Amino acid sequence: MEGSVAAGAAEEWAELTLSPRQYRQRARRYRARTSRRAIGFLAPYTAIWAVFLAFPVGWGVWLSFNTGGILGTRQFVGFENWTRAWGDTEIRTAVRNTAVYMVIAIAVVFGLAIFLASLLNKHRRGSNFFKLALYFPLLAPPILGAMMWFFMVHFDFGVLNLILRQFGGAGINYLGENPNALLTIVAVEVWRGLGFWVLFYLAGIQAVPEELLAAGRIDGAKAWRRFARITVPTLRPLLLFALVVAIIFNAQLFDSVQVLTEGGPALGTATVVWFIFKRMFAFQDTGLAFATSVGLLLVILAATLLSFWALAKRQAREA
Amino acid sequence: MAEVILRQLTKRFGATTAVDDVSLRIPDGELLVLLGPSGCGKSTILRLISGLEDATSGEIAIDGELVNFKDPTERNVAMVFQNYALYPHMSVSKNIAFPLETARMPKPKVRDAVARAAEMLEIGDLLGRLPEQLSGGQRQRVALARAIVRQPLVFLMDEPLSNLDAQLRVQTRLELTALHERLGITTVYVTHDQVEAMTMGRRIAVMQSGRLQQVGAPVDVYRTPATTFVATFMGAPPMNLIDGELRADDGRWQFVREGYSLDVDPAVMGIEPAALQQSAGPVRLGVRPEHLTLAEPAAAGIPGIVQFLEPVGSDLFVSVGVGEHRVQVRMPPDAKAEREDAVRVSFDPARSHIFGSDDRNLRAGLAR
Amino acid sequence: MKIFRSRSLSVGAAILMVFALVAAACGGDDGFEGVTLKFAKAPHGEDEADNMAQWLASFQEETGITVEHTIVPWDELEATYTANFAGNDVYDVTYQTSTHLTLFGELGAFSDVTSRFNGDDYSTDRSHFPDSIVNASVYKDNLYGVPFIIGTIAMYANLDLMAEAGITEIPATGEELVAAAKAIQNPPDVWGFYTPTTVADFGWYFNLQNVHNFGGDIVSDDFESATIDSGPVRNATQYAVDLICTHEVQPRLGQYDREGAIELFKAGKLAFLLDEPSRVAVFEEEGLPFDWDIAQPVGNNGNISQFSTTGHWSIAAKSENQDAAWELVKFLSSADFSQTYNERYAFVPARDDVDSTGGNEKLARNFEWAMTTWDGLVTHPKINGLLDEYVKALEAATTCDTPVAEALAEAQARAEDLLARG
Ligand SMILES: Nc1ncnc2c1ncn2[C@@H]1O[C@H](COP(=O)(O)OP(=O)(O)OP(=O)(O)O)[C@@H](O)[C@H]1O
Ligand SMILES: [Mg+2]
Repeated sequence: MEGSVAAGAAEEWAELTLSPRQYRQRARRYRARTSRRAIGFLAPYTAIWAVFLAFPVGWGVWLSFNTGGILGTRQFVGFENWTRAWGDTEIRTAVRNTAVYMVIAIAVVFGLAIFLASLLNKHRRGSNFFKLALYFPLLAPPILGAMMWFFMVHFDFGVLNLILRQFGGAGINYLGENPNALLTIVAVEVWRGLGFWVLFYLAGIQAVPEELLAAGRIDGAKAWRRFARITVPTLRPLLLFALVVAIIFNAQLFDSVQVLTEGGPALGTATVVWFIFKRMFAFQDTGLAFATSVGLLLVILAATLLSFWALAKRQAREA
Repeated sequence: MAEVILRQLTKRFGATTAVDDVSLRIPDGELLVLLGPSGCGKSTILRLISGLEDATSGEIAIDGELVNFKDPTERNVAMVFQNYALYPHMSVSKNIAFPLETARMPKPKVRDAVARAAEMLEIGDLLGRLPEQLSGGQRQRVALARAIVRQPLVFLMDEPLSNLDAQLRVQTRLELTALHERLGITTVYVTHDQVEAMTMGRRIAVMQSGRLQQVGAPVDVYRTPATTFVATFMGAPPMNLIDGELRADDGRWQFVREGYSLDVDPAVMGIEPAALQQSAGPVRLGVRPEHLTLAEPAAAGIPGIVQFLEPVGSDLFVSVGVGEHRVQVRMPPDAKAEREDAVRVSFDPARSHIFGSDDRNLRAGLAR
Repeated sequence: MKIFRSRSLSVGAAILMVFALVAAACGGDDGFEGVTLKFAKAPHGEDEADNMAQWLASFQEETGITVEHTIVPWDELEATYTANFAGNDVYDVTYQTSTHLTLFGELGAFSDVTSRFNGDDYSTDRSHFPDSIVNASVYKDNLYGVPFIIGTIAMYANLDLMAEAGITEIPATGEELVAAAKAIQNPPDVWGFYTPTTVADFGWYFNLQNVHNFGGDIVSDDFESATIDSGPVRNATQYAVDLICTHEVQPRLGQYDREGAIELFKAGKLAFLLDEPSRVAVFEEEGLPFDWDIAQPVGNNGNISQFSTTGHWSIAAKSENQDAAWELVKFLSSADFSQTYNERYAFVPARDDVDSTGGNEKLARNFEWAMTTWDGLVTHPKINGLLDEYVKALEAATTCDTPVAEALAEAQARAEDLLARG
């Protein structure tokens, strides 16, 4: 009772009624009851997860050590597919393309989305129209979106070059040259994802208390400085989560590649999933396809864990 | 209605100990005020009682029943949050009705209960509005209405008046007291405002750094602070504390400092001789400003120089430099004093306190 | 890989058609009543679904078999068939080109039709399938489908543009083509020549005859070794690259894809275009605003050949109605169905008792080239992969950024890896 001078601190009513052991026991039971309830709610999801995720992924991992298995008889080959995948020059190109694409696309789409979100946040009038307009590409099926772009960037009759030629330009070869093709793919994907990220960041920005920005104003910070020094840092925890989601999304770039370039020219837009798709279906090299898929999964998983770890560390440091 | 008992309650957040071994009994129907500076653990105690946090150790009993291992929903307590926590998307009446509807009370009864609570808090004409369309004081009342509407075992109120202006605060304070008297529900009321604490609580519990410092009737706590913390936290201006040494001279105890000594008579100051024996050495003498007077330099008392005069209308506060200390003296408004006057500060030893080096009051009758 | 076959129009074609009908009608007595067959095919025209419904009506009526026809888009074909053949509810009958016939066949997807095809009760029909065509589709004594059509290439020429430049003869050799194209073109308004060279546009299909003309191939006849990085292939590829990068008679990669080039030709802005003969009917229907003709794709190196792939009717190994499926295959392989189909889509029939040119003089000439200089793709489980390696090299080289030798060396290495795998 050291330190407490409360009247009655040593009195009978202040004596514990449970022994430490009983206390621990009941605390454990209480926690178990709470988590049992949680598990109860999670169970159906866990079952679905097992059937639709764990099982196929496990099967995929197993097939990466075999040949065949989808069509044709399965035969165990050990690490052969993995060593082949590791040594495949085309996978290297695909990995490099995917990485370059991801860095550019995520940087551009995040920058634009945060900027547009802060504009929409400031100018409420008509913002619903812009939100809808920005979100629209996401509503269109990916293939359709890519088709629309096909008519935008077509060298001959594409809208962009028609405009350029109006102003006396020669027109840009968007899809037939490197690195134009990959940059065009970036543009398509940015166009497609922008609406989602704008709404995402708009929700984040709207959660930044008005008072903070008001205080920044009083402290003499101009709009850009307020944006850079108050809004963006307040979004930082969100940013990391967004980054994880964006990496998962973009590491699987495929649709627009299939519609616009089929990996060309000269493999300039060959991405990892495009590679997997070709090996899997066009050449029935299922082992290599699964080894590459599992590899991609592991890389994405690692990137995700790394991000969560970084987030946890940052939170710990800020606490 | 129920008695609430906290037994050796401790709550740690990582390295921070928010609540440190607190034992407290709140009899049925009492309004106990939890008083303490910001961050001392007041809200945490409320959250522990309500079950929003789990105790690290120690027990909580409501109405004789251990509730540590019960969900908040099963504890039947109502809480008024520091920031109201009104549901922004619900009208005032929906907000008030929410706990009743959750308990599946029939609609007509809900309507009656909401109307009664609204009438009690005089918010009958606000029922259709959304929280964002209310002033701070009005929101406060809605939060209160939501708490009282379902007659819980215990009320937990976390600084409910802190966002109100001074006038409204006084008024609502009186209303709350009246409300409590009418309903007679055991209430734990958290505040860091000592005036609120003094006026509202039958008993107050003073906390610092997660520890309970003193529990008692407001006057007792004010008159006989158990620790230097309570002495300085309560009262404006706070109790004066003057460094010195407790010495025994020929069996007679004395408080001694440079140019001054005071006979310490255990009987007069209400101290057990044994306690004096234990605390020999550096101590502090504590006297409230209103128990000090200024005397001629030749008179008995602590020598000092007048530094500032602060007339506040009803009183004249005189700051006297005593060595390294500045002592506040409360005088009648027409008292005569000039800056730079050499004076003696005198007092009735019966109204003074001696605090040991452990910051505890040596006076008997305070639990140690 | 070159075969020559003389072609004589069967005078008894009409009689044979009657035979086929009778055979089909007899099928109805074999108890196929109530059987449902799933039938899938990548389309040769936008109207194929409607046409098929009409063409299959008589078969369904006579046999009592219900045929559910599914159109599988070309770019989804591989994924769709893989998923379908891996499951149990398979397409009973599918259309398969020589690139995929043994790829899927060797994985157990198709029934070997050798004994049915060579069986006594099919011998009359069998005699009308030239051995050369059939043999190109046989792999390790297995025939995974009955040959139906051979897909060829023609060179479309804008005669007006030629006349303006004072050129009277459609070029027949590589050098003549370059010279004519240069004389005619005025880029970017008028281009000399176009042939697809990209992965997306099946560039290999339009360039392999050139490889053969130069005396090479991408793989040895026994499929033991890759020959992509060889002199003739280098020369042939260099020729394709030079058209774009050196002579600049063909637009840069990416400026016009295959469909774009067809539009360019139709607009009178392209002198020579390589594409399938199936456009003949379309162009004639639309009525192009200039004189045009088709010619055999130019020869090189003193050779001229007519490259093609073969399309087949295959029966799924997992089909529960093998006999009914064979009835459908027989119907689809019959002379009259071939007649009907090729009148519409202008392919060359794989049997010699069908004249589907419908009196069209251009198509008749196309038939003649196929007859005299036919150069069909041999099927093999790895042919699709080998073609992919070659076309990737072709695409890379025709960007004008990658030297031909470098592109081919890379493809050669990858092709060797492919062949080395079991
Ligand atoms: N969830 C938490 N995690 C970590 N520390 C916490 C948490 N909640 C409270 N604390 C810490 O516990 C201590 C007590 O907090 P508490 O909210 O109870 O203070 P309080 O007395 O209500 O203060 P105030 O008068 O400012 O509301 C503080 O030091 C606080 O920082
Ligand atoms: Mg608090």
